[in-house]
Amino acid sequence: MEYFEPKSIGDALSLLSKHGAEAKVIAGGTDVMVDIKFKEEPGALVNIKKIPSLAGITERGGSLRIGALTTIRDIETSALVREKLPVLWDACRQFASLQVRNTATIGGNICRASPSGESLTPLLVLEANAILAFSDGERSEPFKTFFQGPGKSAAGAKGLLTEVDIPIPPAGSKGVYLKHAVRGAMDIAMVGVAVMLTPDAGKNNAQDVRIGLGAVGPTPLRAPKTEALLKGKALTAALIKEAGALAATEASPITDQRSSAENRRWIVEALTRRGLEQTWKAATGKEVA
Amino acid sequence: MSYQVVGKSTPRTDNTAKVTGEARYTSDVLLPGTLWAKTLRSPHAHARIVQIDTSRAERAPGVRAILTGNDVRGILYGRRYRDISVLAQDKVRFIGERVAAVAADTLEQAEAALDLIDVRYEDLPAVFDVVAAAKDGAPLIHPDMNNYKGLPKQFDQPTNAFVQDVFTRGDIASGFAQADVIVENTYTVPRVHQGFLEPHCCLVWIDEQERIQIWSPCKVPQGLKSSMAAAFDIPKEKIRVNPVTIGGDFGGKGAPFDEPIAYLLALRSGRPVKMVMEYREEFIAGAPRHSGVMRLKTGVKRDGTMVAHEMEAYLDAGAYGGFRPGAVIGGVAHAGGCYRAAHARISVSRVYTNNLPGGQFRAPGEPQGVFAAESHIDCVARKVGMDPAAFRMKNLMVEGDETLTGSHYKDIKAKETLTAVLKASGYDAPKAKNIGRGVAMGYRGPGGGNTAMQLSLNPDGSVVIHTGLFEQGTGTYTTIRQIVAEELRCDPETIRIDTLDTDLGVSYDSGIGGSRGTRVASSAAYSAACDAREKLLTMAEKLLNWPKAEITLDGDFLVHQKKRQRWDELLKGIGRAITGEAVTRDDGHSPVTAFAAQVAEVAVDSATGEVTLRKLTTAHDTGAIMNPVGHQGQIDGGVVQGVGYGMIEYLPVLDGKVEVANFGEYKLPNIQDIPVLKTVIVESASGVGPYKVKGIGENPISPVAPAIANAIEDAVGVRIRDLPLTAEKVYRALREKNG
Repeated sequence: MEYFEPKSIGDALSLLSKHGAEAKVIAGGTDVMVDIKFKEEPGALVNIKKIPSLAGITERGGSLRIGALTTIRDIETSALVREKLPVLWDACRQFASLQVRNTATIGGNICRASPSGESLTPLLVLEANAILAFSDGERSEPFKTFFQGPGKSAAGAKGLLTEVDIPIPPAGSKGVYLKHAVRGAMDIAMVGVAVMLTPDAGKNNAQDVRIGLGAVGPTPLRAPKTEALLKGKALTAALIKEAGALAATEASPITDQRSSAENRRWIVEALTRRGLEQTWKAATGKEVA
Repeated sequence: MSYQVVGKSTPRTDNTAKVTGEARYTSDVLLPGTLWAKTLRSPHAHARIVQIDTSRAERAPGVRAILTGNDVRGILYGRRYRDISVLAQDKVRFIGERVAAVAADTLEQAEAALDLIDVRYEDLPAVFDVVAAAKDGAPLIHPDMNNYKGLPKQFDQPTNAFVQDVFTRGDIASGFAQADVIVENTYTVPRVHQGFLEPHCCLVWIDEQERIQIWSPCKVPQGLKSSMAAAFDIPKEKIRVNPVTIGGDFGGKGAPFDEPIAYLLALRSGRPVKMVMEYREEFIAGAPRHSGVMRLKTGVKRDGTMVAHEMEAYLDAGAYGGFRPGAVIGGVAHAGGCYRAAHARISVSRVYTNNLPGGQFRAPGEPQGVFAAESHIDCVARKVGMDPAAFRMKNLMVEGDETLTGSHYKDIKAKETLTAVLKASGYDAPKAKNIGRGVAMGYRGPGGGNTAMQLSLNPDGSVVIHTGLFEQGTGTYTTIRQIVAEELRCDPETIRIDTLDTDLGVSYDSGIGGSRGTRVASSAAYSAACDAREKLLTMAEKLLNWPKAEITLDGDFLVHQKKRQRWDELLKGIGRAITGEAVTRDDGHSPVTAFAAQVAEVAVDSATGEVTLRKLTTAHDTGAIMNPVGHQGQIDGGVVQGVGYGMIEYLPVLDGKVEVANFGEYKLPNIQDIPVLKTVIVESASGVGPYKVKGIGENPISPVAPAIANAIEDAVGVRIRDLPLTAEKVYRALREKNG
């Protein structure tokens, strides 16, 4: 295994061009090192942690820009994120363990492209974009099309994720991330549900509702039919019940050692309902009637 | 009785070395020229080995020795029941069984050579279900079982159910005939791994005198020596097991594992051979706690009086039974519970299947039996409309009663222990919706065993305890040091412990296990200290002309009235050490037992089935507590392992194939899963040995899982009879209940 520490994005991209699929990018290493130990070593390991200015959280225009090397812990402890992007904050605080959060980066979590990755469904519902550098230039890719399958993303073998561009939701919008797992820390989500709700001006209806489903398909998913059902309406118990059931049909889970597919759908249903109740209450100050 | 050192929290002897990395474990031991060995494991659950070709591997770089089943024909080993093939002979019986072994200059070379061994298999019909395996007509896994050494009882025909124990009391049929209500249920439990940090490992060297030198984290070193001697029919004196630090045991490190293979490879190569199992290998072939199926049937009078109690248990031994001390697992008999019933029948079968072998794990058999029994008692109580705690109180054994399996104990404190836990846990306090409380109980007497100890007071002023017990990690050394300090009136920190290898230790030393460490070692340490003191005072009387009865000890000094004399100066004068000696042979049934009663409080999320353990209160009937901090550590550790068994842990096995390979997939609880733990001690003067002690190591673990299962039913009205108590099982049951 060859090991590289490029000092610039350009150097990193040249290495990726040269080594192609043989190369593996490493940042925090919380996934990559496990693979090296338990699976196999890549031909070339490209450590991007020495590239300056890839970490940090800044507000620019109507967006928050989060550098790829920003640790999950930095996001979790950012007052800006907590205020502007509560759904992302909520997911980051439920991520693995404090030790892992101190090391793992958001770029790593994204590029891993695991359907259960904690930050992924929040980025989907925030309609964020991945800023990707290629040797022929930079490109902004919406997360909707970024995730292509387990471990597969639009960055491919030769692109480098440098930043995440997250449009700040309208003031008054609320979000939650609900995680179902076997144990309280250091566990992969059996199901993760991100819900974001924006009320209308009078706080009478849900002007916009977005639902992200994790660990129930080959990529993190949105639940478009469920979102459409809810848009523009006041949330009632009956409507939420219907929405939960519909969201369960939008998931395409598998059975594995952690849970049956059937149970995953049940959990999607329960967490979708719960996420809607919580965001409705947070956004409108009213209990679901 | 008031003590200076005993009964006070005392730091462990091994803290610093473990924290700083100075503790020397087996894999830290390196001898010049050591080879590394790895084993090739079977991918088949039950198959005939048609051919093994090692010729390519023999030519591989660095390879020094290769073994197959053909080299170990007829050799079987085990702790006492000997049924384990060193390497598979003619057939394999589980996925993960060792088929061939390679020793090479490096670990990588040994691993690479395994890939060059060609084995042809021919599949045989396999059986994975323990109940099916016990039936006539099931594929017979060990046709020669009747000839195996250590089989408790031979059978007319070979059978997979190689142990069939039945305890009876009264007449079970008439018991059920008298009952107004009969409740019958089946409970199932999975395998769980001990989860120690250090996997099984060993180093074997045949020295220049042709003695077999073994380094191994075995907690029963004399047992390892005996097992090796028996397997290879060699005199025990040829074998020496050297002391090392044990990297976690939890019951799993009592049996020989790779030592027989390493020995043969060392013999063949003329080099020391080291073997360290990967954790992947621990999961697929590491002898976890037995899984089992237990059917319970209980008859009660309408007023809640138990009249008949029956259990039929099948424990899945997997392919080999020799990884635990005896063939029988007595602990399951605890499914009799702590209750009285005039009529009982408890049957326990240990059955071969083509799954990985079952082994030994903290309180062997009890977590299984107690989960079934204490879950079932709740079901019976509910059936007759009684509060489960009140039902228990009505039926608990009292002074003079025997257990259902015929054991007699004095100083029965079952009701006091239950009362204490109900009070401390707020069992009767009002609770919100979906909050539940469950109670469960267990009991266990301190195990018996044998050991010897020497204590030397040396002319250089040092005090040294010489013991053949290895510190298994539970703090036995700390306790024996406290005792010696108490009896000699010195500072425990100044006492050194010298761990003896098996040449210097006594051959009958039974090692650590069965919560016997304190019972056995405290007697020995006390007697050795008394003997040394007596000898010292006798000498002092002679040399100083002080009346022996008037001399006291104070650290380095002998004291008589206002006069003080350093004892090391006297020893320097006579030029020798004083040695106190003691032999403890105390392997009988303990006259007392210790009860444990626990209350779990849970919150159940009725939309997902998720169970949150909010609080766990545990009450223990104890004798004198030698080291409170160590005692509490055993309680907390046992409870945490009980929480794992109850809620999280299980080794998934599908058609004989273990489906987890690492601790990412095999989950143990972590600190986020552990609620506030509350302990109540019901201390009394009842106990064994000079200090009146009881055991604690194994008592806390077993009631936890049933207490949680009982709390879940209390919270949301569903009963889960299969461990672990996962959210999915709870939610599925809730859906079925609510339609």
